[in-house]
Amino acid sequence: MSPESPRDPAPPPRLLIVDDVAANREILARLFTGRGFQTLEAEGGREALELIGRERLDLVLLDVMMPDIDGLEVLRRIRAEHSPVALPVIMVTARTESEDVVEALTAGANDYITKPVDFPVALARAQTQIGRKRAEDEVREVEGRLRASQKMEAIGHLAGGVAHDFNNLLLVVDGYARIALRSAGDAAAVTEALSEVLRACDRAESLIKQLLVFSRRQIVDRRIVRVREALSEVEALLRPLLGARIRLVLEVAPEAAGLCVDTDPTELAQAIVNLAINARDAMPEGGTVTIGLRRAEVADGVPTPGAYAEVSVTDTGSGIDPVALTHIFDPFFTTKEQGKGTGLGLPMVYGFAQQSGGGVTAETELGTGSTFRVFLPLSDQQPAADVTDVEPALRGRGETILLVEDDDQLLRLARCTLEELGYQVLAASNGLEALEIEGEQPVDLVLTDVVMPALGGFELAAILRESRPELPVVFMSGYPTRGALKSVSIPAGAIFLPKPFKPADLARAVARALAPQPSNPEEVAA
Amino acid sequence: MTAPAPFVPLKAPSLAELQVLVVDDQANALNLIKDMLKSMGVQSVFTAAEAAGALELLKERQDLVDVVLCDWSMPEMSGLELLREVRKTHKDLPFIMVTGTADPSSVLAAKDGGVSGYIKKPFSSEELRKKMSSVARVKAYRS
Repeated sequence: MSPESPRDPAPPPRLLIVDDVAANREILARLFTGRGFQTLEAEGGREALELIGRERLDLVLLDVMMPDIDGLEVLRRIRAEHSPVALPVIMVTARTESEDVVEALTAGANDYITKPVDFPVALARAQTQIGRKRAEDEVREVEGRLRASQKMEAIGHLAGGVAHDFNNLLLVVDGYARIALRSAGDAAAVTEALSEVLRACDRAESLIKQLLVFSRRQIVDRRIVRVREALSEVEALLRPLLGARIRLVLEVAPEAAGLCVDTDPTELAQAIVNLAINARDAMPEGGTVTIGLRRAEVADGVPTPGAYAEVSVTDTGSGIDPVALTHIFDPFFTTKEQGKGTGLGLPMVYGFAQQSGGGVTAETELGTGSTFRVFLPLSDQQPAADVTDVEPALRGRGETILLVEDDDQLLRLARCTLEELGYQVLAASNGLEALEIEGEQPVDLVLTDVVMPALGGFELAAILRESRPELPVVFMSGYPTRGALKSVSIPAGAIFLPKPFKPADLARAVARALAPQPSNPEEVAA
Repeated sequence: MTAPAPFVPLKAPSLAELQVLVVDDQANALNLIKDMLKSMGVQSVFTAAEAAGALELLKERQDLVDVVLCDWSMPEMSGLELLREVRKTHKDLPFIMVTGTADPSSVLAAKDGGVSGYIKKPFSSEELRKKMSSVARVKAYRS
């Protein structure tokens, strides 16, 4: 594939030629268009001012002698509105009018050329002005980014989402604590209520972990990051942010699951959050945000040809109008209402992509939606993640694990970890689904949550073992299972994995369960 | 680990003993599901055209129901509301939602409500049979 350059090569400079003599305008226009300029023409001061008010311009070539409003007056009116940095003006004057030159320069002309026009000189001066304007623009952009903390917007949104989630958890804790108080005499009811409290605490803990993604704050904290993992973390953060009317889809191309990049994971997360928030705001009536990850071979466009991880954020919203599209990466440019956006989201994304040696592109279609693609150069290194600490003896050899967990987030996490450990994973979000899968495909081990509606982990294990008595089972449990669920028979030789667990804990439990029987626990527990 | 034994798919359990409660306000859908179930050997199929009827049956004769197959969108009381109501008293009863279109937030709500699975319309008899087989395994174990 070959995407357009992340930020299109600088568009042609737009030049306004103001002269009352048509032949002069034509000659200049031909000269400049031949050198890559886009030219507009005005035959008098009035028309010139009108065009300046309406068009985006990079430079004005302004004849001093004109019948309607003379050039110096036009210049003064331009300067009342536009600084020499914002709109450079080059005066065109006859050799003899040296007072005019002084007056023009005093009034804010950036430069002057004399008639008859020496073309190479005119071109050089024009290009100097254009170059300076562009450099100034960039400086202002950088200053703008320094002045305002780029994180504020993302963090503001996040705080809102997290507060919402935390409130829900507090409600649960509060409610069950009260039930426990009321049921003081009823041990079973108290146990059940406290179990719910602990479960809420588990969720709170994972919520905090996600939030911590944003608190690692060094200037740039680059490391090798597995993009898919970063996306999974962000995905969990985004759900509450996007709200119920927006569907969030994560599409990871099969070959992209292991892609690693050398970047600041906090900034990567921020960039995606910023893009997703924009996507949300483009769909007030609801819609779908798709976060995609794939491997992109770039032939030209992005800074250097090569292999990139392409993270895309696509919405089904209103699209961006073409005029706004040219400004979307400018700091403080925002199409949102006052107070709704700082206009720093996309510049942050742009800056982040640049710093990572990649780029960002925007595609949009009015009424259909927009896609932003962030390209990050691939790294051939592996992250120093927890999983790599796991000794080879505890890794999988392609065994198939049936993973049963009703919490989406934990399901994803465990799935990711197991896949990285070298296992194949079949995922089910409840017991019945697990039975269905197990009935059709060979399974080497079952890793299951304990408490699930309709069919809990213990019962599931017992049913599975009716037909396959040797099937190894590991139970993941968030709270002191043996006490809380005394009434349920715990399968013989059951291995428990307390939540929350680290990848190494998971690896150990699974390896132990898969070890040939009779097992030697000391040996495997090493 | 030991050399993997060749995989033999489980023999489909008999569905003859299974007792299914189908809840759907659309008579034609209700009859279709009923016919499908009958043709795969299920002998006891109860139907309810609205949630209230289903609750009634569950209250009076919960021993007659091994699984609820419930349409998502119904007037009066929706499938989700029925699920929540059923879960108050029947924590272990398999409850399968039959849905045409379900947005993720409703799916999430159903999940929180303790749904045991979904069947997406339109579905084949085979899909339904797989679900019923799983329920039959649960029933066989529990009895």
